[in-house]
Amino acid sequence: MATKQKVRSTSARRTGRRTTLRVPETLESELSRTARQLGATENEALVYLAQLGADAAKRRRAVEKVTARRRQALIGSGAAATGELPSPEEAREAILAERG
Amino acid sequence: MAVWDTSVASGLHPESSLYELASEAALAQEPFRLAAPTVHEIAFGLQRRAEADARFATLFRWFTDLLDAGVVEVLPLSWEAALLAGRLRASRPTPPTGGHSRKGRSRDPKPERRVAWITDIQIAATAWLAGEDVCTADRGHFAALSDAIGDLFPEEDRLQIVPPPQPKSG
Repeated sequence: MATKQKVRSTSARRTGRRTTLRVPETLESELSRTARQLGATENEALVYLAQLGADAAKRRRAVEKVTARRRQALIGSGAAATGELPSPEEAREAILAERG
Repeated sequence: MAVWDTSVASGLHPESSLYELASEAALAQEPFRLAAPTVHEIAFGLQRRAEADARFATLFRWFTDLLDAGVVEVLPLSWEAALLAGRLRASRPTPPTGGHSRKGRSRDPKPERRVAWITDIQIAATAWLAGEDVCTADRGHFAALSDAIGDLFPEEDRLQIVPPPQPKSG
């Protein structure tokens, strides 16, 4: 009850869409733990965890964008494969030159 | 499906029977495998020549497209393989004498040969941890590494070494 009073006194009025959802059983223990740690209601803890997840998803999308761009820069750079080629022997020699 | 080391994979070329073999294997959904350090060695060998000879730049492009198309599968150097490679390098800091050495007395090998040795260590570690054999023309290096792995893990099977594929006749 003390915790609830604390939550009520510290929780800001939220704006935004109201919704009803079913909390997966697998989240229950983490939700309770987070609520205790924050001194918040489980609803607020759920929003907090959702925000963490949203931040992680945003970071992952940003990293994927960078890695895709850099991969394309690497794969797409260099000459077009239309010109003359060295012979297989020349190529092998170039690759193994430092092996002695 | 064995992992091709650099001595074998250096034969990949649009006009080579090895490429034909690799293409057939890829079409059969069983692509041949390279360890990432082999890709590094091939890229270095071609790029170094590409500055002065555009033909090597063209071959580099072809090789890049080959990898991008998945004609050969590349095994990454995982942290586990890196860990094993470090242990192998500590136990065998230099390549065995004989084997690939022209004069058979390279007690203090040139830096380039040390780099090649480290590459072979990484290839061996990658292949062994993936449960694969190594396909190589350089039996000397990989026999030494198979022994080193056997010393470290006597309960496990050693790294197996298989010879390069034979070109098709006719």
